[in-house]
Amino acid sequence: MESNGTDSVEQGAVWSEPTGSATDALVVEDDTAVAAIVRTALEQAGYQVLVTTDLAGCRRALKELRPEIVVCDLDLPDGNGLDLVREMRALPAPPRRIVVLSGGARDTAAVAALEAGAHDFLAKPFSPRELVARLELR
Amino acid sequence: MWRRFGEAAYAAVMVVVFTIQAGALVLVAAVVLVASRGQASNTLRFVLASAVSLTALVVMLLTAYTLGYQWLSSRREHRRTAEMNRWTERWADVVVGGSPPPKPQKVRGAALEALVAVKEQLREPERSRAQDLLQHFGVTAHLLGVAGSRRHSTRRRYDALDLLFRAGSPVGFATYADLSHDPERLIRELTARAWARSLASVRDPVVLDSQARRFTREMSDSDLPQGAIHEALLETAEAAPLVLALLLEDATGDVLAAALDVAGRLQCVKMVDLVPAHLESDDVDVVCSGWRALTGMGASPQAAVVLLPGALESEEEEIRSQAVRFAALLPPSEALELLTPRLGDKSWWVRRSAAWALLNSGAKGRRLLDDASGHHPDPFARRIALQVLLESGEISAGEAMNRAVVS
Repeated sequence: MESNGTDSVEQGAVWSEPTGSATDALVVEDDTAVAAIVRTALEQAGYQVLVTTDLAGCRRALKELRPEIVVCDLDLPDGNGLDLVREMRALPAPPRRIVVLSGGARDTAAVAALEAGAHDFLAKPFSPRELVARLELR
Repeated sequence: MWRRFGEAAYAAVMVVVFTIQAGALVLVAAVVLVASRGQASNTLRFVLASAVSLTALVVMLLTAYTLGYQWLSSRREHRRTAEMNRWTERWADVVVGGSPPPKPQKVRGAALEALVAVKEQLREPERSRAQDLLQHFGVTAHLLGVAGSRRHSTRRRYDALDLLFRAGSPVGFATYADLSHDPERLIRELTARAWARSLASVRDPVVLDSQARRFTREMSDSDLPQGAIHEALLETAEAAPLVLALLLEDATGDVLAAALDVAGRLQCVKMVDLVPAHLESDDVDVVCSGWRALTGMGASPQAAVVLLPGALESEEEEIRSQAVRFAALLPPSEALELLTPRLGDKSWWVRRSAAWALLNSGAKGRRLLDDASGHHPDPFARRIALQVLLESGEISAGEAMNRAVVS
């Protein structure tokens, strides 16, 4: 993957190469395997993807890039994904879709995520196709 | 602890600390040598200078060793992480993106761990694709070979079993059966979990039935602690109804208690009728697990309801406590009648469980608890009712204080 001028967002955050769509997707996930799976699935669906591993990187990306969709984990190394969801929903121009992807207790985590303002919730292990389908719901 | 502030900070602290120590030793040696000029023999001064210099040299060598070790281990860690990331991306491309798999080669080390990590996060159909790759590259057979061989160290066998557990492949049952008699308890514990997760991924009902019977036989004869069996049974996931039903019919003691607890935690309502038979067991743990299982399932079969008054009067505190929690499942009129007297139970745990159960039994239960906090003849009952009302936020601290003073 080549960096395309967004290195200011976060050291270690990586943009995928454009795949023909101008849609931006931000993935906030500290698990390498999940991040790789989500990125591959979203790239296949035509998104241009940025992966960041923590809240700080995500906040910078939100400020500078205004992604259209966000896929985020709940347990991040520097904070709670629920706070992040609330922050995103409070933005003047929030992302069109926020999907929380979590490995926690399914029911509790789903309710907490939806109450915080997420549009949808998916428990790990997950189906990448289902994730893309949920992101594309209008 | 300094390593969490970064490698450079850690190295700087190490250099400063050891330099101060070495510097102090050199200074002491110099001062003593100057001060003892003319007062001590040259031999004594030589011995003193040599001892101090040697100590300083050892301190410097220790510094070099510590920093060198840190540098090497951090380099190895970075290389390993980079390799894991590279392989993870590659496997995600193959499994999710549909890219062709790498040419036939040995999949070991970081490549193997990355493939297992990718599989672990996927559901069907991609999960099966990852499983096919594990089979294609002989990964599962390799891991089973390592886990099953006593020539390897316990650590290596444990790591192989951990990867097998994470991979959850529906194979290797014969190896697991052998390993469940391994002399190392750690190996037996992880074998039970890996075996359980493998069962969860079996789709053929005939294979599942025979392997579940084999698994439950081994578990029933196992000397593993109840906690380890409980953890293993939780991993049976989709296979849990079959495995737990077999155990509820045949197991005894710790294994039966673990099976009942897991049935409750997984809310296996289908086996609700198998539970009441164990509520009259001589084993207190089994009886407690039985009541806990029914509470977890949210089910109150008549066969259990008729045993409830006896359980509420049991000599065993833990049985009364679990029975009180179960009583909260009954229709409010019945529940309140059974729960209210337990506010005055001699056990703090039972009183507390009863108070919480009353609070969660609708408006009438809440009123009863409220009333008990001020007017119950037993002071311990008044106190627990107040405490629960306060903890639940039903009343303020000030109000609780007032009521406590008045009563």
